[in-house]
Parts: sequence; C-alpha cells; structure tokens
Amino acid sequence: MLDYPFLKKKLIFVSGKGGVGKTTISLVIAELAKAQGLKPLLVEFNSLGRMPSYFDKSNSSKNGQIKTMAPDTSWLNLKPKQCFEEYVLSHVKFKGLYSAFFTNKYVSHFIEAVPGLSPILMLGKLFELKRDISSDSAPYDFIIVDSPATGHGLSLFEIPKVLEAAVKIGPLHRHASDILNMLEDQNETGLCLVTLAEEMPVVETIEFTQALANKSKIAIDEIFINGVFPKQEPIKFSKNVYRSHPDLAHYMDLAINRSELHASYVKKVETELSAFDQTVVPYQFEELKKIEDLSNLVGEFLEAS
Amino acid sequence: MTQETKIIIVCGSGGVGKTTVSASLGLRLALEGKRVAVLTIDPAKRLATSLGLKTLQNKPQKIALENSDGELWAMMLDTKSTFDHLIEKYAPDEDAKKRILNNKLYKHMSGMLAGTQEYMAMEKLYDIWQMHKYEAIIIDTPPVQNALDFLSAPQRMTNMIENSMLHLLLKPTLSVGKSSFKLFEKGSQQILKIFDRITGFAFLQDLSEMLIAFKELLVGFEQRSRQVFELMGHEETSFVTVNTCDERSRDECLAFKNQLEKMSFRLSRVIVNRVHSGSILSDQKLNETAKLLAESETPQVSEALVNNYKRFRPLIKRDANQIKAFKEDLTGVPLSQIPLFLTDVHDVAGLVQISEHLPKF
Repeated sequence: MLDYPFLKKKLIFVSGKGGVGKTTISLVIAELAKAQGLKPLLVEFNSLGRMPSYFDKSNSSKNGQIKTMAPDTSWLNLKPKQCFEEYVLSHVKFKGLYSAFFTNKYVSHFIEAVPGLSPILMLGKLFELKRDISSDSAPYDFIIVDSPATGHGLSLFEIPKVLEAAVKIGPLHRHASDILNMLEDQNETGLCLVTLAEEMPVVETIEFTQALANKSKIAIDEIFINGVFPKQEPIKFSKNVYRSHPDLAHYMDLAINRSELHASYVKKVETELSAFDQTVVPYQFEELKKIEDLSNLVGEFLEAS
Repeated sequence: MTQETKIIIVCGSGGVGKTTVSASLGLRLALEGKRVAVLTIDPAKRLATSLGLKTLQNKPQKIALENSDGELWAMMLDTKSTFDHLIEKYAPDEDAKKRILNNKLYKHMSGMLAGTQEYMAMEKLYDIWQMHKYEAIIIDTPPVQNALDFLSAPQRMTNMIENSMLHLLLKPTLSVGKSSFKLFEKGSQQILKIFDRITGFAFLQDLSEMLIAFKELLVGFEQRSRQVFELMGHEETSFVTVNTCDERSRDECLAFKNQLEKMSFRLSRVIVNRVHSGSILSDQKLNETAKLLAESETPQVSEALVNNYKRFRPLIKRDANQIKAFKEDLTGVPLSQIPLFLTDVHDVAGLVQISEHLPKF
C-alpha cells in the first residue's frame, strides 16, 4: 500500500517552474494511482497537449471532451475559451444568442481583458469535474492537474481569493468562493511541487512555499526533487586520461560534479522545506517518451513504499 | 557614435539559461571593445555577484572589466513593478491617474494583468535605446511559458483596452468609430442581462469604469507600442533564441521563428544550451580504450571511467541528433551550441567560457 497522502485525495495539482518535469511526474502519479486501483484523469491547462503522445494517441479532442488514453486513464486539455463558452451556456438558455454575439475575436479579448478570468474559468471547470466524481457518472475518480505558470506574479492558487475580494457580491463572487473552498479542502485537494536539484528551481520553490503560506491554505502534499544524479564517488585518475581519452575524463568529472551539486541541493530542500514530505526522483539517462518508459521509475516508487 | 545601436533580444521559455547567455553575450561584445548594456529580467541572485555587483538595480551599473576598452553595464527590470508604473507614465492628467489607481477592481487585480512584464521589458528597452548611450543593448526576456507570448505583449495590451466589448456596451456614447462594433450596440440590453447573470452588475460597473479609465491611457500606449514595434523590426535588431536540446524546445523554436517572420522580424541565431558534447565511441572502441587505460590506471578506475561514459553515451547521441534536427527544422538560421559545463556559472570567468561558444554579432 503506497503511503503518499496525495493518493488519498480527489484533486491534485502538480506545479513548478518550466522545465522541471511536471508532465513526467504527473504521469508517474497517474501510474501510482492506477496501482492503487484508482482511475486517474490527467488534465492539461491551456497547453499544446503533450500527454497523449506518451500513450500513442493524438492530442486532438472534440470540443474539449475527456479522452481515454488507456484502460482507466483519461485525459483532458482545458482551454479558456471552451471553459468560458460552457460557463456562459450554463447561465444562458439560448445557444443562438451566444453565437450571434460572441464571435471568436471578442471572446478571446474579453477573456484577456478581465484579469484572472481565464484561470478562474478553468478552476471552475475543475470544480465541476471533481463534483462529477461523486455522481458516479465520471470514468475517473482521481484528478491530476499539470499546472502551468500563470505568467504574472500571482500563482493559480491565490487568484480565487483575490477575485472573491474584488467582486463583493453576485454569481462571480459565489463562484470564486466555491473554488476557494475546493482548493483549501485539505482532505480532498492537494498540491505537489516539482523542482530540480539546482539553484534556481530550489530557491524559487522555497520562495513559493513562503509566499503561498500567507495567501492560501492549500495542502502541500509532496515535494518532488526531480532529475537527481546518482551518487558518484570521486575517482582519481591521471592527467594522461585527459590527454588521450578526453571524453571519458570529461564525463567522469561531470558525474562527480553533478552528484555533489545535486546532493547539496537535496540537502537544502531537506533543511529548508522540512515541513513537507519529499521524494527524490532519480536522473533518467534514457529518454522518456512513452508511458512504458516510465515503468522503471514507477517501479522504484512502488518498491520504496 | 557613428554606428546604430545593435539590439539583441534574447528569447526562450523559462529555465533554459537565457539570463546567463544574455550576460555572456554582453560580456563578449564588451570585450570586443563596445559599450554594452545588458537588461536582465529574472536573474539568479548569483548573477549579480558573478558580475561583481551586490545586487542588480533598476538602473544600469557598470561592471569592472580588466584589459578592455569596452564597457559592460548591467541592470535588472524590476519584476515587482506593477501596472502602476505604466499608469504614472501615460495618464494624461492627475485626475485620469487617480481614477484608475482608485478603481476598486484595479486595486485588487492589477497584479494579475497579463502581459505586463513583457510589455515593460520592451518599454525599458526603448527607454535605454533612446538614451543613445550604448553601442549594443542585450535584452533578456521574461521567462514565459511560451516565447511567443513576449512578441504579442504590446498588441495584447492595446487589445485588452481597445477591443473589450464591455465598455462599449455599457457606455455606447463612447464612440470608437469602428464599424464592426456597431453590431453590438443593438443587442446591448440582452448582452447585459447575460453578464449580469454571470458576474453581477456591480462587478460590471467597476470593470467598465476601469476600462474607460484605461482608455484614456490608450493614446500613449498605442504610440509607444508602435515605436517599440518599429524598433523590433529595425535592421540592427536581432532576435536570438536560447533552447535546450529536446523536441519540445525545438518545436517552440520553430513556432517562434514562424511568428517572427509573420511580423517581418528576423530570427538571427539559435543557441542550444547545455548540450552533451563529445564523441560517440563504439563498444569496440571502448574495449580498446579500457586496455589502453589499464597502462596508467587501476582496473577499477578504468572500468568506472568506461561504464560512466557508457551511461552518458545515449545522451551524447540524443543531443547530436537533436542538433541535427534543429538545423534541419531551422534551415538558414545559424546555430550555436553551448556545452553542458561542469559547474554552474558563478563568476566572470564562467561567463567568458560560455561566450567563447557564441558568435560575433
């Protein structure tokens, strides 16, 4: 039985700066969920849709529908415009009225014009998706969201509170409140942070947790330290190797150096983020392009438990 | 100064090493004897120290260089600076300024206005260029998810203010003179009902006031946008991308190049960072090598050296293939490779090492 708290929840956000491996970790979490008998739904947020290629599927989806990737694994790519249309349609009876006035160009400008609207719409869609779990109509019971950076100072998790305060009454206020409650429900929602064992991602992760502490009660369930180089004991070799076999010398130096560097950053995370559970994810020398490529990595997680 | 200022705009998604590469480019040009300014956006705290500065500030600081006729100045765009700065700059008068700054919605949400960082980076570039003090300006761009976001920033700003339907619907008296908007005036009441159901009327009022107040800034924004756009298309301006050695980065690079071309701008170089460089040695060759090594090293050390190389070999192969693919996808665009170094860059010597892989501009 795997011991991770996030596997006991219904909605997990996987967050971190660009290039740290959020997609890989999201996919690993999905496989762990399946090992627990869960049925994960992988959600991408306004992205190019990278996950389907791991399952040898195309990333086209009809009107933002949930697509099956594998038995018990589904996928959804949320787009702001689609979320907006669905939201408006749920408040307006006649589709005809909508199409007459909401032409493409103006909808996208409107979505951009209202600060925070795009992320709120997408969070609102997640709210519905989560609610559908209890109604038994959904082909999933565990949602994993590969969260993007918001592109401005505020993180995704701070926006509902800001909107709730900015809009004092009315449907949008209630909507923001619902979303806020969902995010801060520590039993059902969690946040997994992904970082690399390098200076910038570690510093930013530490700063992020500090900033978030004041602004959101979302539960930080796990910190994944990704791409950690395996331990390489320093080895002494003669100058001759540099001369005659430069590649071997260079890559040994690299291995020793990376091993040390990563170990020091893992230590930093252990010290400064000791309040949170942490998992070290080893560096992958082979390329991970298909879900089968992840099986070794997933196996290590299952063994470690 | 007889030459036009060279501008190099360094783009790429977050986490690729843009800031370090930007600093190296600047250093290289300075060592060639030019007076250079480097504008960074999101530096590691260490970059400041690596340049011999306590911190990077919002105005250019000179960096001590040995044995050089050139000058290197560095500054950091204040990432915490908000929309307020733009309002200070473009509000036609005190009243207009107060109207926005006091708007309830604006006060809460100014931090969320998208595109601000990118827009202000371009603003800063323009300001520095206008000083006509530097022979080259290198601008590091914000670590956006998608490098394309940076290009569209000025236009998105004006779109947001100009084309948002709401203020037109709520104040039909505000004439814009564009025929396509007349369509909306007829259905105003119905549209309002829809919005009321979604957002509530009070919110719409606040939003409308905010947008109307913004509209007063529009003239200033638009003018500066146009100037910035012209500067981006200038003969002496080059766009450079920094990428990592993988398919995703390559796809982004191609999309970026295509977008640049649509806007009549030029991608003048692709820089692929953190490349696993070196020869690809066959197993046979490695066996021979092991025998040769045995002459000077212990068996354990020989074995360790060979096995370690073997586990890196797929990375060397992969990166070599990626570079090939980059060159195929981006025919006509010169490419530079920066190898993965042993240590992170933390001093000028490190920046010099990187700059040796960069071309003359």
